[in-house]
Amino acid sequence: MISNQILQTNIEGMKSITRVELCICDTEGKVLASTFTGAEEYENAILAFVDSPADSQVIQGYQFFKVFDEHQLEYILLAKGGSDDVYMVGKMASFQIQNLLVAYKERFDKDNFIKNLLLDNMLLVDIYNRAKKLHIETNVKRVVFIIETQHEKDVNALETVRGLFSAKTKDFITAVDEKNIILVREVKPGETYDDLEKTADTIVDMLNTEALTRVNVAVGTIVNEIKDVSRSYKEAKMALDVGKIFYSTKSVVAYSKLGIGRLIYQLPLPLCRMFIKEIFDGKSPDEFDEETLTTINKFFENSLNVSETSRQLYIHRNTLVYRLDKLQKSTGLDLRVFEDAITFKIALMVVKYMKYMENLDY
Amino acid sequence: MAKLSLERVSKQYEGGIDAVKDLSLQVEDGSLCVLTGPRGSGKTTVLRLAAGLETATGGTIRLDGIDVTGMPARERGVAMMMKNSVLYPDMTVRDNLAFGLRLRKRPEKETAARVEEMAGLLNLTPLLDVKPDRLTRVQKSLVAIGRAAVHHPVLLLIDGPLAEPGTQAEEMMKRELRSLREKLGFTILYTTDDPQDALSLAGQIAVLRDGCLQQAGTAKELRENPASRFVAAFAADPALNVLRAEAVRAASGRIGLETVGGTLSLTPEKEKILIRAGYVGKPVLAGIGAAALIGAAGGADGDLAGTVRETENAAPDGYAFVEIGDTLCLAKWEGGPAAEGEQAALSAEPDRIFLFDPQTEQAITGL
Repeated sequence: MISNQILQTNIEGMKSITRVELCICDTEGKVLASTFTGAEEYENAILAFVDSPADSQVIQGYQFFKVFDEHQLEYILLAKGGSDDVYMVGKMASFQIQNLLVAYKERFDKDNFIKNLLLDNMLLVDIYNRAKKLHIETNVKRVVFIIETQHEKDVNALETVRGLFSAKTKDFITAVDEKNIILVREVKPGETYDDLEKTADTIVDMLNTEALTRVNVAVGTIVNEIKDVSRSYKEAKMALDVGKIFYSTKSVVAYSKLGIGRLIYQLPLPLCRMFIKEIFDGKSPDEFDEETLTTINKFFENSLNVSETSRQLYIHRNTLVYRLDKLQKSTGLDLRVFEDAITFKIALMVVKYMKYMENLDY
Repeated sequence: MAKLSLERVSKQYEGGIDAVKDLSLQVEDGSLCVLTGPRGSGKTTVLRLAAGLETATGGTIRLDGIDVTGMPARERGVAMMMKNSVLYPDMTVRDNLAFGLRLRKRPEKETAARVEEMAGLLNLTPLLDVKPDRLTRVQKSLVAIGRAAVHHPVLLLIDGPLAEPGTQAEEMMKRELRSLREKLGFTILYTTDDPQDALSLAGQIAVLRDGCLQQAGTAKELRENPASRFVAAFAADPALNVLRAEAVRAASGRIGLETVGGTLSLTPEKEKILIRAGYVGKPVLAGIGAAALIGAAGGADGDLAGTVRETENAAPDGYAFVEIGDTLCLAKWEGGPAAEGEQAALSAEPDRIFLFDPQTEQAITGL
C-alpha cells in the first residue's frame, strides 16, 4: 500500500539522522527500499527469518526486524551493525514504518468512506459511526466540486488538484469514475458562493497552465452536515450537465446559478416534444440554416435591438428585417415582439436539451 | 520565420458567438507581443487558441512554421500563465517551480538545475525554501512566471496584467519580464486590457475589438497613424477628442476642417489625403489627442473657441475640460488657472490631427 518511493524516502531520512544503513524487504525477500547496495544477497536469510518465531535476530552483521500490520507480517527491516545502538535504531525504524502503514490505511479508508458517501452507499447510522472512527468532523460546512477532464485518468490533472488542496487534510480529493476528479472542500467561515466560484476559476486556470488540459468545473451547494455531502455532489453533477447543454462557453458552472436551464433540465421529454410540436408545428429548429441561427442568437444577445444586431453581423438593417420577416412566416413568431421572443428562446433551449438527452449513451 | 503565425483564425462558440473573427497575426521569434483591447475583445481566446486549449473553427495556427491547429496543448511546447494562477500553498518556492517538470517526468537532476537557473534569473534564490504565505505579491507573481518559464517553452503565453496597472509592482514585473526575454530569448505573447500597460511594454502591439484585429504595430505607429477612431482612442494618453467637421476649401485654396468651434488648419500632406480620398466638401471626424489640443484663457488667438467646464473635477493635472459646441473636450491647459464658464482659445497641432470617416470610423488614408 505504501509506495516504495515513500519507504525509500523514510529510510534515507532515518539514515541521515542515525548513520545506520537500513533496508526494507517484503516477506519473500525482495528488496523494496535500501540505503546500501547488495541487499539482495540476504534473500535466503530473510526467508529463514520470516519462518522463525523471533521478532528480531542478528544475521551476517545485520539485525533483522519484523514489521507487522495488524498482526500480519508485512515487511522485514535490516539494520547494519550488531551494537545495541543499531538495535535501538532498527526498533525505532520498524515502529515508524508500522505507523506509516496505519496512517496510509486510514487515508485509504477515508477515500473509500468519501466515495461511498458520495454514491449513497451507506446507511445513515454508518455514516456517523465511520466518520467518528476516521476522525472526520460531521457537522462542518462542505461543498463538492467536480472537475471534469478531457482525458481519461488524467494523472497530471489529479496531481495538480492534489497540489492545490491535499495538504489541507480537511479537504478530500477522490474519483468515482475515469474522467472526473471530485473535491470535497470544507467551507471556511464567511466564504460565499462568489468565493467558491473564484476557487473554481483558480482550479480551471491552474489545470490549463500546469496540466495543459481543458476542464469544466461544477460546484454544488454548501451543505451543513456530512450526510448531505452526496446531495452537493449530485447538484454539482447536474450543474455539469446543465452547463454542457446550455452554457457551453463557460468552464465553471455553479448549481446555485443555473437559471432557466435548471427548470428545463427537469422537464420530462414527452412534455418537451409536445411543446416543440405546438411551437414549430412539427418542424425542427435544426432545419434552420446556420445563418438564421446566428442571426437569432445575435438578436437575443443584443436584447432585440435591430440596429446593434445588424451592426455586429455586418449586414444592412433591412437585411436583418428581411430575415426576421422570413422567420415569422415560417414559424409564426415575430422575434421583435417580446412574448414571441421569449417563446422562441425557451423553445431553442428545450430543443438543445432534447438533443442532449437523446444523444446520451445509456 | 515567425514564431507564432495566426492565419485567418476564427473561433465561433456554439450558438453562433464569435469570439475571434478572421484574425491574422505574426509574432516574430524572440519578440514580446502584446494583445490588447477592451474586455470581451477576444484576447484570452487568442491566447487559448495558441496554447491549444481551444480549437479554432477556421484558419491555421503555426508554431515555427509547423501547422499546430489540431495539435493537443501538451504537444505544442508552449507554457501559459493565466489570470487566476496561484502557487501551491503547501509547497516551497523550489517545489512550486519544480512541480510542472516533475509532472512531465523530467529527471530530478535536470529539474533541480532548471529550478536553480530560473530562481537565479528572477532573483528568487534566497526564497527557494520559503512557502508562498511568506512572499509578497510581486514575489508570488515572479514565482508564477518562473513556473511557466522553467519549461523553456517555445512560446510563453501570459494572460495579464501582471499587477495593478500604474503601480510600482507593475513596473517591476515588466522589468523582470523584459530581462527574462532578453536572457532566455523567449517569444512572449501577453494580454492586457490596459492601453498604457500595452504601449509601455512591447515592441509589437495588436489591438483587438469584438474578436477582430484593428491594427498591429509599434506603440509609435499606433499613436501616430491609428487605423481607426477606436485605435486612436485606445492609444491616446490621456484621452482622444473627436469633433465633427467638414473639409472645406478656403479662399486661399488651402483645405481646413470647419467645426462648430472654428476652423482647424491641416498639414499639406493631410490636405492632399483629403483631396485624393474625395472628402473635400464632405463631413469627416477630426481626432485630436488631449495632449495635442492646447488651451488657454481668452477667446481670440486659437483655432477653436470653447467654454471651460468642470475645472475642479476629473481632469488630470495640467488639463482642463472645455466645451466646444456640444462636445466636451479635454485640453492641455497653458497659462493661468481656468474658471468655469470662462472663454477658452484652443489650438491643435496640425500634424497631430487624425482624420476619420464619420460612417466607418476608419482612418482616411487616401490610398
